[in-house]
Amino acid sequence: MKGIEINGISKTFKDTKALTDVNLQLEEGKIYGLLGRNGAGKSTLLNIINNRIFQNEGTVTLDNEPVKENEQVLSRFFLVNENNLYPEGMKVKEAFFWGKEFYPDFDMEYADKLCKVFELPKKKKIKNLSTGYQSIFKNIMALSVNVPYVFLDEPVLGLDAYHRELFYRLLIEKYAQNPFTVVISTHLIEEVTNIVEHVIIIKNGQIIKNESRDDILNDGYCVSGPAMMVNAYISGRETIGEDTIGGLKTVYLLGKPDDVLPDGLEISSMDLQKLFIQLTGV
Amino acid sequence: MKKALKYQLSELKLVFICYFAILLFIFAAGFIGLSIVKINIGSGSVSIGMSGAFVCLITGICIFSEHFLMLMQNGFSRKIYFKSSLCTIGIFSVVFAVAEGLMTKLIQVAALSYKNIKVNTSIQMIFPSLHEKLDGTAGFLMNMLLTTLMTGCLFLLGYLVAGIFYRLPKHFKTPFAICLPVTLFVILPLICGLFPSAWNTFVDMLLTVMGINSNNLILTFLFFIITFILLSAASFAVVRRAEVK
Repeated sequence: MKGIEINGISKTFKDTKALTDVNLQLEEGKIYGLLGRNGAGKSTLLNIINNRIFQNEGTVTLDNEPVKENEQVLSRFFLVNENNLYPEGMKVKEAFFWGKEFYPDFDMEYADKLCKVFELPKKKKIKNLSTGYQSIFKNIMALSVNVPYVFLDEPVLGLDAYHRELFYRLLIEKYAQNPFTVVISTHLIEEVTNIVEHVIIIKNGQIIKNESRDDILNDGYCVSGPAMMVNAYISGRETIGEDTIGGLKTVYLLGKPDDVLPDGLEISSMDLQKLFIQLTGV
Repeated sequence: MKKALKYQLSELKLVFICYFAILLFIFAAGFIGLSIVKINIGSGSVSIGMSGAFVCLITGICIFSEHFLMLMQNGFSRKIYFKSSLCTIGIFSVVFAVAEGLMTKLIQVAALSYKNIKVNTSIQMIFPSLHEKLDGTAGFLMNMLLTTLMTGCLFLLGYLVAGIFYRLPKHFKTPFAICLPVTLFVILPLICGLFPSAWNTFVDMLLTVMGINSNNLILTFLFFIITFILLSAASFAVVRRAEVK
């Protein structure tokens, strides 16, 4: 299989088991959404894939080549996360210069263009940028490196709504021109629902869902209506959660809805965020 | 590895330029001042080796974390980062030694009119009894070689200390940072004062192993080569399991 294979990855920090026997495949040219609650293990997984930290067990391979300490493979990856690994005194334009040196396909013109679009000052030191602009800088780097596998850990941290929308639009445009593998780890599930093709949900260090977005949304449905009617409908069915406001009730069910529904009830498609909340709730 | 090396060398060239520019300025200002003021100065000997030693140690400390994180961000493995660091240290040590040798010669020429001032190379400071024999071209070359080895060892020592500090858990970092200067400036002098004979025996042993007691330059070179190898091995052991935090 072409792509990244993650086999049996486990990681423990002191007495906290961050990841337990994680198995995944990340194919070429797909956009993945890596979702999980705080402390679920998303960043740990991304750091292990990118050789930033070491796993206790398991392997990560790319096209059957081990990733660990393999610069031939690592040169095809790029990870951005909330940590700024660039030197204290480095300016944005210097980071771009070295990006071009380290990644031969780095598109300097495109990076400059994005700087103008986002109004990112190139002569400023990275450490002096605001949280939002540091995210913008890292996102511009990620969009400009032109490597086959890009990992974005909380890419829109600190970004206002306008910049978030802009970033998603640019990501899709870039992807449409030349498909590459993107793994986005984010808490803003509603915003990425229409961008991601495949959803991976991680809970307490284990993968609980690993399906295409369409399949995951077709796994279930929502029924809304007067509470009594909804209760009658859901009797004997598998529910994963519910919301009640006054006399109205919405229930989230697994499976397929009946062809004919009682009057007064409405069916709607499963909302990814709602599904996520129901699946990862206590 | 070439890309990593290019990055590391370009980051360090500023250190090199600043250090020698400052030294040049200090000595130029000193000699110009002396020639204007025309006072009688006492005798003394000068060597720029000690300041160079501190610069190398501190630069070695700085190389570790900044370069490690930058190269990890940009898809390099720890093995490549270490090899590149070792090459950087080697190249920098040679260039530093040459520059220091030339700077010493320059100061020696400027100090010719001041018969009270002796300007020594590092090797002449270590082997004062060989002072006369270590003048001239052969002395210059031997000084360069020894300075390269000493500089390389100091760089690596700084690099190793920084690497150990980086890898230590949080609650050990402060004690480690305190222990080093306390050991050097409190504990060692205390041992020297309280147990003079044991201390003298230890120092004597060290100077013998280093070839200084016997004025054996070959032994000195061997000592620094072995020290360099051991420091490299220790540094690699630290780097290969370093994680990005």
